[in-house]
Amino acid sequence: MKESKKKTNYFLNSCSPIIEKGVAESIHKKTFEKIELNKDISILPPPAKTGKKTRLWVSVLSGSVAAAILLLAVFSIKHTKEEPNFMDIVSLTENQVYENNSDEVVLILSDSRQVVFSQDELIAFTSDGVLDYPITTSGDKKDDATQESLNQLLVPKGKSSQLLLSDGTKVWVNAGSRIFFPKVFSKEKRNIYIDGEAYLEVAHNADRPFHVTANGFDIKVLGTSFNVFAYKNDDMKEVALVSGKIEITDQQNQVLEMKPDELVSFAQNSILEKKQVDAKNYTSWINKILILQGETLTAITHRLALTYGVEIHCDSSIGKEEMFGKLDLNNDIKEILNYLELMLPISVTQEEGTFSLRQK
Amino acid sequence: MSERELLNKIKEGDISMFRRFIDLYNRDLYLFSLGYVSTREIAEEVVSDVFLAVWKNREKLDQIRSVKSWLLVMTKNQSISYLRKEQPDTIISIDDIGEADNYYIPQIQAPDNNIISLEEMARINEAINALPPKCKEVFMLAKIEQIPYKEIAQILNISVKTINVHIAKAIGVIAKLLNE
Repeated sequence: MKESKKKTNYFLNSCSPIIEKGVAESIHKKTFEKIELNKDISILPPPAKTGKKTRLWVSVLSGSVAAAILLLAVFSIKHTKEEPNFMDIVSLTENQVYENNSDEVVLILSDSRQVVFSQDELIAFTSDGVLDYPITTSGDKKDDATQESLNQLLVPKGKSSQLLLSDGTKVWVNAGSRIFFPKVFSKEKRNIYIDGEAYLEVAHNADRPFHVTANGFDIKVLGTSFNVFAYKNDDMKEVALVSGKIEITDQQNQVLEMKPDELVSFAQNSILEKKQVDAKNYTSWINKILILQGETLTAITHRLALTYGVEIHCDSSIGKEEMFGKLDLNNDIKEILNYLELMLPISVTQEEGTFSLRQK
Repeated sequence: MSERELLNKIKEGDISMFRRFIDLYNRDLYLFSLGYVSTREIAEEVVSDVFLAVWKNREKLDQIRSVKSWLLVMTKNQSISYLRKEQPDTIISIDDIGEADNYYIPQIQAPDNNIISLEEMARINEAINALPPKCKEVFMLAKIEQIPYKEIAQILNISVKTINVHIAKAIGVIAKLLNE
């Protein structure tokens, strides 16, 4: 018996898998080859930080009102500067594995409990971070949940949701999106992470600026309302501000201040251009209206597929057709596609749940 | 040199310190990845992807509380991405990574065959690999890589209590074989 205990200890303390020869060298070699390939994006020195500018707009905004922005983004690299641990926590949280291929809106609390909500049902948190809902949850409650763990709201394709955060900020969350937010915000700042599209009305609090972290850039706001469109599979990144003022920091640490009705677009995680738009057109989805201002049919069908949770194939020969007008998203997807069929020289067919758009 | 000092040097772009960093972690990351992907070639790809991500993000290395946990989380995500043949070039993306179907503990060997014989070792390896995947994942991190339970809890998103259960089970199996 004693012998076996000794052996067990020997096993646990001294035995381990043998690694083949050359693995370490090979990992070195591969790593540096990859760094070489990525040189254009990895070796760029970060521009000097413009802390002065930040303070300027903070003071301007401290007496200010609500604002609204919209953003379209691709996710590639995490980047936060001001909140040391937030993305760190996000990267740990994102690794948490849940059965989130569910068709329902699921809220995963920081203690791992899960709550399912119906379409557009308001999910409200009280000021002390408690979910204001008669909880009937699934999932084991973890006993070691810390203040640092994040709540996650997962909204599948074809659904949307509304969220009231503990600070009074309201978030409309669109289809196929995820929001990570702390149980309670820190005293200095409020930080949330968005993957997908959301419209936010941020509760004004000059002492605790609100940060939206998206991969590729960071948005700093005080009291403001804004819309985030940030699906990782989308090649486009945009921010449109409806009212108020915001500050965007891209991955090259370029800082840009935005005024209402300005649209900023990004290319490869750095700010590309700024132009004047009617920013309200970018937040119409919360009222179930899609305003089209010359978007291509490819972009529109991509968006409809997400909103309705269906597959839509658009033939490349008609993909560049541009559309203007409004689509009422309260309508059935079939009605919407029938409408497109009337407007454009296309024909729509349906096979096993997949819609196909072809040239007529 | 402390880990913090090393990270600060890497942040400044010191390639030789980055090489040292790779030496420091490549064994543990490689073994952890091998458990998911089971082939050397892919595990090497995974680990070099993770180190690439570290280099790309070196500016914020000092903001990471536990570098090893961070590396292991990325290694797991990237391993599973490779298994699913997903685009492996977006290592740091926020993906719904999910779980691997299985986990393998690479063949464990004893430095001294007089204490544990080759036959015993073969039986132990077989028995360990017959354990449930999650149990093996935990065993790899806790006993082979010596990661503190609290960090494992975060990496795998399970409670310390659960880790204890898995480890007790694995050690029970090993002790039983060594008692025969």
